[in-house]
Amino acid sequence: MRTMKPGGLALLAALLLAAPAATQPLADASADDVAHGQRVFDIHCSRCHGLGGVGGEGPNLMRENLRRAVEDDALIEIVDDGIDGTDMPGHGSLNTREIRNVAAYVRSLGVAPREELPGDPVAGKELYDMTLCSTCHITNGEGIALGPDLSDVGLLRGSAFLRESIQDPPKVVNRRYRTVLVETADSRTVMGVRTGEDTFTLQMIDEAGRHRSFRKSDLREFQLLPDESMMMSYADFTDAELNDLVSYLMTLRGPEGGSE
Amino acid sequence: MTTRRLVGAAILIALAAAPALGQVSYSRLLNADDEPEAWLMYSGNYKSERFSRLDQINKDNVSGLRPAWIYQTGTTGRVEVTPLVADGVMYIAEPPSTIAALDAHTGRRLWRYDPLVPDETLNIGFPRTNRGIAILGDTLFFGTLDARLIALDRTQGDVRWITQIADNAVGYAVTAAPLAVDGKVIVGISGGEAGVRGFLDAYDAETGELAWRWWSIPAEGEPGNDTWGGDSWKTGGGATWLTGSYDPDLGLLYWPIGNPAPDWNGDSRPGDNLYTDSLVALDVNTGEMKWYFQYTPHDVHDWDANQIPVLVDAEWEGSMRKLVIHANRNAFYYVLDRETGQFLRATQYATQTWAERIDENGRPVRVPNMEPSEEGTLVWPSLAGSTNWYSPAYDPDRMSLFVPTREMSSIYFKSEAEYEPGTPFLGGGERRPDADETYGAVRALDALTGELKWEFKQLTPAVSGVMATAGGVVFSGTQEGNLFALDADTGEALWDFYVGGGVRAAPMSFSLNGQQFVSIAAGQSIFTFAVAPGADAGGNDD
Repeated sequence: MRTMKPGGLALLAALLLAAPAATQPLADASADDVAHGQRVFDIHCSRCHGLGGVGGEGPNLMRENLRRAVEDDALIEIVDDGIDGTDMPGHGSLNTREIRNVAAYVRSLGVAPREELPGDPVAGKELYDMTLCSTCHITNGEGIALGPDLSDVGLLRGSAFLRESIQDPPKVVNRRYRTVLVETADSRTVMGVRTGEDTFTLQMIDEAGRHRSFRKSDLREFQLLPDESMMMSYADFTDAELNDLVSYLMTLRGPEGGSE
Repeated sequence: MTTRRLVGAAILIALAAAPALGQVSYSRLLNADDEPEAWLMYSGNYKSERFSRLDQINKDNVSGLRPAWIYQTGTTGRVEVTPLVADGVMYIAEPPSTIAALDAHTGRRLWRYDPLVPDETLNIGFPRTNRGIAILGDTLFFGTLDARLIALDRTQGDVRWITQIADNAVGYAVTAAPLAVDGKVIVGISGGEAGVRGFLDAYDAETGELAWRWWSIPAEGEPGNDTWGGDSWKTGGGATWLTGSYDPDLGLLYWPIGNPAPDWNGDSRPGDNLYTDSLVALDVNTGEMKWYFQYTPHDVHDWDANQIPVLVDAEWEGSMRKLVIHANRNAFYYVLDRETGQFLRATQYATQTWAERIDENGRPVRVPNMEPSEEGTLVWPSLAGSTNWYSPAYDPDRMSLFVPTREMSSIYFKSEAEYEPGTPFLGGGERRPDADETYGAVRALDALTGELKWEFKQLTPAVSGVMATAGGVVFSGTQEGNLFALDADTGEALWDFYVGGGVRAAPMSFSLNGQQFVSIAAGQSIFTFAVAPGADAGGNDD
C-alpha cells in the first residue's frame, strides 16, 4: 500500500495535468472552435445531414439524444471512423482539431422544435397499408424485407428527403438497394434487388423474395438498372396524400417510439 | 548402448558441420531464376519481375486448381505478406511484426517468433502489418512496426541480432520486406504521413551494424535542399516503405521514394521537394546516389512513387539497353535507362485529369487548379492512385507488365497542417465522390510502349498484387475476396476461388517434389493451391 501511494499520486497528477485539453466536454468548446466546426461541417457533413444538421439523406442531428453518440468520445469516434454497416463514412481528410470542432458544433446544435408537418399521420398510416408499402418494407417487425427497414426512418431521414423518395425514387434510391436484371443462358430474365456482388458472382432477392445466386460467366447478360428502381413512383399521389404519408413516416422512430 | 551413442554423436557432428537447412547463399539469390522451386525474395528476383519460371500450372489445367492447405494466423490484423519458400519451408509475417515458419507441404507451423511490439506503437498512414522477409545464409531479416531490424536463425527462429534503426515515437516504422544482397541487408522505413525525414539503410548481415544511410531529403548545403522552403526538409517525408530492386552488374539499388509531407498542403514546402516521388539509383556499397528521376515534382495528392520498379534488358531503338520500368501511382507508365536515369518514355495507362502530358524530359505539364482546396477539388486518380504498392508482374517472354489498376477519382481537401512529432502531418485528405463507375483491373501493358494489350476488369479498384508464370497464367485477387487466374495472352479468366476475406497481398509460387503450388495471403490466412494429382500434366485426357 505504502509503496504504491506515491506512484498513484504521480499518476493522478499526470492525469490532471494532461486533462484539460483531452477531456474538456465538447459542450464547453469556445465559440471560435464551434464556428470552425461549422465551416468544416458545411463542407463535409451537410451533404447528407443537411445545412445546420436538420437531416436529409442522413439523420437529423438536432436531437436531444444521439443514440450512438451519447458520450463525447463516441461522437468524436464516429466523425473520425464512421459507423460500420451504415452509410456514415469516416471523414478521410480531417485533422484532430477539425474532428473535435465538428463534434463540438454537432453538440451545439441543440434540439430542433419538432417539425410541424402539414399531413395527418393517421391518414398516412392508412395510406401506407392501402398502398401495400409493406410488401417491400418492414416497419416495426411487419412486412417483407425487399427494401430498407422503415422502423426508424423518422430518425434517419429528413421529411424533404422522404417526400422526394416517394415521388421520385430513382433519384434518391439507396445505393445498397440497386435493382439488377439478369438474363440467364437459357433466356430467362430475373429481376431483383442486389444483395451481394463480387468480380465473379452476383446475389439477389428476386421479385418473389427468394434468394438467388449467379456466376456472371453463366449469364447472357446482367445489368444494374440505373434509372429505375424496384420502388414504384408515387408521383400521382395528391399533395394531401403525400403530406399524410410523410407525416406518418416521420413518426417512425424505432422500437422505443419517441425516445430520441 | 554404445552403438546408439555413437550414432547419436555422428548425427550431432553431421548437424554441426552443415546447417540443418541448406544455406541460402548470395549466389542462390543472384541465380533465383534457376531455382524456381523456391521463392527467395519479396519480388521473386532482384529484377522484381514477380515471374515464376514454373510452368506445371498452365492455361489448360489451371481450372483444376484446388486448396492444398490453409494456414490461419489467428490474428485480426491485415496479412499482407509475400511468403518466402526455401528448402521446403515457408516463412511468413503475421501482423503486426511476427514471423512464422511453416512446413510448405502441409502448412503446419514449425515455429513462431513474436518481437512483442508494444500496443502504443505508432502506425501513422499505414496498417499495423508486415509485408515480407529477406533471407541470406541461414538467417531471416525483417523489420518491426517499432522500427527494429531483427535477424533470426531460420532453423528455430532464434534471435541473432536486433538493431533499433529509428525512433517510432516520431512515426518511423518498418513494414516493407528488406532486401538481402552480398553481405548486406537493405531496409526502408515508413512514416511519411507523420512528417519523418526518409532514409534508406544498409546493415551488415552478420553483425547488424549500420553500413550506410542515405537520406531521401538532402540536408542544408547538399544539392537539392534548395527544392524545399525553410526548414520544411526536416519534416518532408520521403519514406522508403516498399522494397526496391537491384542490378548486381551495375552495383546499383533502385529504390522508389515516398510523398512529401504534409501530403495535401504544399504551402510550407515550395519547390520540387527532391527526392520525394522519385526513383533513385544508389551504389550498393556506399549508398551514394548515382542518379534520380522525379515522377511528380511538388506533389500535393499523395502520389508517392512506392511502386515496384522492374528491371528489363531490351532492345530500344536498335540497341540493347538496360531499362527500368515503373507503373506510377500518378497514372503514367515510365521507361527509364537504368544506367543513367535518362527518361525514355511515359504513357498514360489509367484515367487522370491532373497533367496535360509528360514533356520530353519526363516532367509533367500540369492542368491548372487541380490542387486540393478547402471546398474540395475533384481529381483523377484518387488518393490511393492508379496503382499503389501492390506488385505488378513482368512476363519476360511476352514483354508484358501486368499492373493492378484502380479507376477512381477523389475530392481532395486542403487544410492547415502543423507539425507535431508523432502525429499525422497531412494538411487535408480525400472524400470519395458518389459514383458507381469506380472499378479495378489487371492491365497488361507492352513493356516498351506502355500500350494496353488487354485488361481484366474487377468490380472494385485493385488492392492486390499480381504474379505471372511461365505457364502463361497470371494470378491476382480482389478486395471482395476472389483469387483468380488469367490467360497471360488474352486476360480471359481461367479460374477463381472465393476466400472470404479481402486480398491485399501478392501471390508467389514454389514447387515440392515436382508439384507446383501457388500461395497468397488473404483475410487473416495464407492460402496455398495446387492442381490435384491426376488433373495435371496438361489435362487433355478428360
